Amino acid sequence: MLTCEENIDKLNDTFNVMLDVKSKAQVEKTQEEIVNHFLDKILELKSHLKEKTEELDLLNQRAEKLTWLNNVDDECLEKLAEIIQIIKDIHSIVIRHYADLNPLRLRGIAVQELKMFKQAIDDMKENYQDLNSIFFVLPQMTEFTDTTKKLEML
Amino acid sequence: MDIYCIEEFKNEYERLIRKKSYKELEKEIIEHFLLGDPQSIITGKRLNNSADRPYIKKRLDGSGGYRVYFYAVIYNECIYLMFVHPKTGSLGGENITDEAKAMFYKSVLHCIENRLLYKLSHIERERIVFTKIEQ
Repeated sequence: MLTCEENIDKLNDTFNVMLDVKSKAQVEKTQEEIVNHFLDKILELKSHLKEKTEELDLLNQRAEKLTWLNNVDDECLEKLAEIIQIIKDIHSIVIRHYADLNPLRLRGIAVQELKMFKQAIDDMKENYQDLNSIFFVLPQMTEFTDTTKKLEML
Repeated sequence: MDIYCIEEFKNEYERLIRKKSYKELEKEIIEHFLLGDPQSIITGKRLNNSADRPYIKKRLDGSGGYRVYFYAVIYNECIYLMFVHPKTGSLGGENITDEAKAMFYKSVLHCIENRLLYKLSHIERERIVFTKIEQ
């Protein structure tokens, strides 16, 4: 049989363990808090993607405007070649970024935002290809430049 | 503006709108070309560096929509549609090649010279009508 003193020791021991678990439980987040934290992170991601997409859309609009430049000389062509290279570089960075995030889309997270982001990335690729074609390929094609001259004479 | 097209455009357009998934193309062409004002029509990427006779690649219906290639003669307000392709769907594809761009350009020259053109109009903003112009 346990003496009263031994009982008190055992009770104290159990009391301390309980107290420890209680204080830990108070620090840990409730399930609701965990879900809220997760949802906040999704909203943050969506807002980040929206911001990035808008930034790329603006770059794409700028790229399209370049095709309306008149009197493009060698100096302009040098600058255009640099711009095309920068667009290519940006594209290879953001497409990797998209590939990293794509598993989220497959799980139904930020689906629309990722779709818009991907479209802006695809537009960017189309833009550097078009700029290269417009300033560096088509002007070197005799068939193309001859047609321009003939159409101007009509 | 007067909107014309060459045979290549008409053929491709008719091939596309036979497919349910490309039905929107008709509406897009009507809204942009047949109902648009000159300032809004002559937008897109200019391919030939010509200020008054631009050869343009125009995006319709957003990124995954269509690409229309056309030639504009600004002083007499004429548009010549040369080719159209979707970016997505079963008949969709990437950019056309530079050789194809040059080929359509040459083709529009030949068609304007020989008046091998169709004039586009619309019925109640819903249907495009192609009328072969007299040579």
